[in-house]
Amino acid sequence: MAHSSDTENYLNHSKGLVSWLTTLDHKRIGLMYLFSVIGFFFVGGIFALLIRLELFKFGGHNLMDANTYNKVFTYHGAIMVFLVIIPSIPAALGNFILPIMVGAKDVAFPKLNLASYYIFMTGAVFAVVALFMRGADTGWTFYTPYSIRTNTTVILVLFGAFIAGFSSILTGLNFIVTIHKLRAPGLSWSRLPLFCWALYATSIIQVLATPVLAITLVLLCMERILQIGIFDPKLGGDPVLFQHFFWFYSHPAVYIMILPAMGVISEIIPVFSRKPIFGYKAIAYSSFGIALVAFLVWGHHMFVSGQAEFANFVFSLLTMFVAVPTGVKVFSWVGTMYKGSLHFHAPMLYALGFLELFTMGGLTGVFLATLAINVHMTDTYFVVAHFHYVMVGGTLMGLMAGIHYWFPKMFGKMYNEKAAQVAFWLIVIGFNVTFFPQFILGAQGMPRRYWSYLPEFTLLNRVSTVGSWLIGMGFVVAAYYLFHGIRNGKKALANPWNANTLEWQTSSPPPHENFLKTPVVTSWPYEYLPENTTMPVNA
Amino acid sequence: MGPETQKQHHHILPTKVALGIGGALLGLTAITVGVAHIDLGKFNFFIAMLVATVKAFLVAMFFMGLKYDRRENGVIFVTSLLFLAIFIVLTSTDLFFRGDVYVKGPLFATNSSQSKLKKPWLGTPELVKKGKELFSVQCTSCHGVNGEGDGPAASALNPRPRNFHSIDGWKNGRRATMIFKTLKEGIPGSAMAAYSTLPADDRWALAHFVLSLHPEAPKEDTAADFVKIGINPAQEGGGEAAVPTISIAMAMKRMASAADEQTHLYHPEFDRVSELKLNGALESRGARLYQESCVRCHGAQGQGQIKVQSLGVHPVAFVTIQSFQNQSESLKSEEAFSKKVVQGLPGSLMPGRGDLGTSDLHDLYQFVRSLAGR
Amino acid sequence: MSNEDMAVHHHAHHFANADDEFEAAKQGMWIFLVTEVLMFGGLFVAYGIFRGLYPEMFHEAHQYLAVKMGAVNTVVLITSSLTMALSVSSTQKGRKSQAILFLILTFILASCFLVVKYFEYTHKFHDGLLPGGFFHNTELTTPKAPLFFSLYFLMTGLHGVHVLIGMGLIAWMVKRSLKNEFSPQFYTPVELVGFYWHFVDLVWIYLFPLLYLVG
Repeated sequence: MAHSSDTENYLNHSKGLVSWLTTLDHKRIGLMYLFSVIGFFFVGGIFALLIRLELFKFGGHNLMDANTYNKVFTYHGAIMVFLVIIPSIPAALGNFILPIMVGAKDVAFPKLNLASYYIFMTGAVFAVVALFMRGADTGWTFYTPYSIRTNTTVILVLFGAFIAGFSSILTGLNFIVTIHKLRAPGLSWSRLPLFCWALYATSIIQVLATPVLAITLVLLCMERILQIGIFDPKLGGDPVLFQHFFWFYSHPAVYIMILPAMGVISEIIPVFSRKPIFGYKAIAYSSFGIALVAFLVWGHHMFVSGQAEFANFVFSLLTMFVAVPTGVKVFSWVGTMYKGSLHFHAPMLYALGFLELFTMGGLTGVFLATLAINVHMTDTYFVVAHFHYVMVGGTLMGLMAGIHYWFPKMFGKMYNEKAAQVAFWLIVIGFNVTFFPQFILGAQGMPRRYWSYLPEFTLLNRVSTVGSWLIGMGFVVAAYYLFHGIRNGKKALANPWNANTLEWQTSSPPPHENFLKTPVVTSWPYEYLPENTTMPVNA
Repeated sequence: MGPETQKQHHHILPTKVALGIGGALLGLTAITVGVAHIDLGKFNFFIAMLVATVKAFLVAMFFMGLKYDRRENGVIFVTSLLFLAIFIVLTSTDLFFRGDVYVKGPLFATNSSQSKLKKPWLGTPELVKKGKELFSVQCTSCHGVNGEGDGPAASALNPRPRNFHSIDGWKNGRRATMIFKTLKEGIPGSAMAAYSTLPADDRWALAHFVLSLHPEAPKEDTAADFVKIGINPAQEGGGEAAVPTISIAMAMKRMASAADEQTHLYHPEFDRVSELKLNGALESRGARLYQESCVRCHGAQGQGQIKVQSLGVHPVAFVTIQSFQNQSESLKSEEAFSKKVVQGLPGSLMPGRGDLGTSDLHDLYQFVRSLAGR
Repeated sequence: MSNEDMAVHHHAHHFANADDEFEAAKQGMWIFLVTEVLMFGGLFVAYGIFRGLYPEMFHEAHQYLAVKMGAVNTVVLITSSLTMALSVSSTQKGRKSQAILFLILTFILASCFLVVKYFEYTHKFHDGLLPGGFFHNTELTTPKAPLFFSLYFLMTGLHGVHVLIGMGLIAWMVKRSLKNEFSPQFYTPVELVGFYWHFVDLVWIYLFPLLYLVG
């Protein structure tokens, strides 16, 4: 079924910038999201490097004053959370792959999809414009009362996040209806690929949680402008109520970040182990288990906020439950690899990196869920290390795995595998060098969001900064060979990984309508026979 | 999709039904407005919500077609309500269970001084058993593990705690009603506290257990005894009147905030820099800064003697602010003063005011010096 | 059946047939309404918390609301829901002029709602019953009363914005109806706007007793 990319495909279907900017093709929209997200990742990454440069304290000097430092970490957080990690896998990879994986010609609402992209970019513009004004220095969490009183341009950033949120909502809406209504004949629920299950659970969270963020940001803007007093004790309100509102979205948001990555891993591991996925049903159900528990635990971000002891007890207890469906997945992936025939191409390397880093991040989450420990670790670098392990070590690894896995499908070309291996090791080693010391720093008491620290923390801070340079180098290398691959990569087969899901049954790149003929599904996509270990990779 | 299902999902709402539902909605509106004018206490809210839900149900089922639509869409809609419920329920575990809630009163007030038994003054094995458990928690620190009056705290007490194995020395008498009285009122002049906050049944149980520690049976309670403790033996449970109590947090707050002769709580009219000073030519800027930032704790003449509540201390604690007259060190120079004001006093209630500029600090210093009589 | 020309609707290429497209659109609308439930829901949660904490204040403060005007608005909105439902069923039956008439009636009722709201609001501004920091009414001195009005303006304000948007959508439907875009075979936009409008009514059904009829 292989076709050369000289034939009609979605990339050459129509030409010119306008045809891209007005496209209704989910594949093109997915690519636009991908490039935008990569762009924002580098911007957010620069802020990260600035943070670590400051914390190196070269010769004991400060590179910037404390107020500027506050703005730098606020921007690092806000950009990475709202413009990179949340949209990345669903909007970029999901948009491209989901319709093809279910055998459809497009998502349910293509025009809405394009609108989502423009809404996303509009939100981004507001946030970036604020950067050139007085920025924001509240931290990406915008806690009251400081966020009410600071005279930075908080409202613009809030507005940007508000608008970007709608992009997330509409994407989720689109995906749910697509999965419900556009599955190809024969694609029953029990044959649905795990990436689709993951996106389904993610979309449910997006649709339920993001509107609460919207109203929270509106309330904060109203508090600043109209002094409504809901979060202001002087006027009878409660600043901790803001935290409830904020975290009711932001905790499920982290599962919006991780579930799609888990979906990617669930696709890659069986293919690169040449074995059926272990525990298909369990993995599918656990996605919904995680989605449900996601909404029950937000108070664990507020253990020291002055919240009632009863609430602390309830939330600590409920948080423990999230480890169960998560553990189900990790054990299933490991069970898949057991006695498999492992192939260590870049997608698999990133999947294994995910396993190591996400597991560490997840386990440290159990530390933090324990109330007695949390009281000491809150607002220290322990928390910073925890969430970077799960968000970067989890979602970003998943994103890189997915980009490499679906690279030949998206562009009809292969990336340079050797360069990919180099970048991978730089990133993974760099990541551990950057963030592992932060667990120690946090346990020793170094607070987060601090521009200065006690002298005894200097060595580990400097080690961490060196690690950040390794990560930076790794991503620069990755950007280089990936872009090089798009232009000059070796031509790829339709199915270089010898995988069974529907996207591999059409050409690389796919035609404009995804399939020449509507596919009919007759089997479960994870039937990998042990004898079938050929992975041709190259044309 | 077959023609039958097609017809079903393109259901046309008959006009008669639409008008009927509209009429029902208007009728329910009239009902809910009418009921709101009748005082039914707590029920007003529930009835209003019930009526609103019925109206909502009618709109969703008929006008929005959920009755005739695939179940999927109804499930989708109901799911949103479920998660909204999660939001409010879990948020309530915080907002309605904070410490200061008890100053207004606990959520469900229980009248714990009514006994639930018919004749609790008559000992039973169950009561004795319950009393034993309670004893081990409430009483052993003074009365000892075996009730011999040799608990760890006993050595410091005079008079010593009662030895329940002895038949002598029972202050109020060794009868069930009398022990109940002792538990309720304590023994003034001794370390025996009043345990009136324990539910009545618990106190009866303790009484019976304590009586069981000596082999000789206690005497029977007389009619006079019952009168003494305000119990009517003809009534079930004894009919003990409810003892009005306030919570410990409330009591401590009242005690701690009570002003004595020398101190007082901040009062906006009393603790206010005089108009003369605020508007005078000299020091007026310093006076205004002082009025804005300092007067609530330091007082209008800098004399202090104001009780300020410590934040974050549970349940409550108050600190009395000292007069400026006693603060020679920080008032020695403008530099020392500025440093104190800008940095505050770490670990104390005095906040740092890093937002005050040099000229602010200068004016403030002049004013404070004038208050301190320099 | 009307004897005017009905425009033929071509379903989008990625759907197998028009029916699938209709079902998908309907489901998409329901999911959108879920997001609206959660968004308004946030305000209801804030309301619930503060009412639970300060029930007497709510009772005192609500007496300054114009219950009669609120009741009138409730009647207006319910009737508009009825006319909207009738408009949808008329479109489904192919009765174009009837459908347009009901749409216009709905629009008029919606504007009545906003007019009544306008009078309510201006009255509040005049009396100084404003949100939070701007509150300057001298009669209502219950502590924290401004909080009630913050919630009042936020909830009815957000609702009012949705009414305004709804009016725009209804006007758009009138325009498309006039251009013969709808028929018994294709009436999806009218149905979906109908859902939106019924949802706006749903929110008011709860807002009215919670704000105007407190105890």
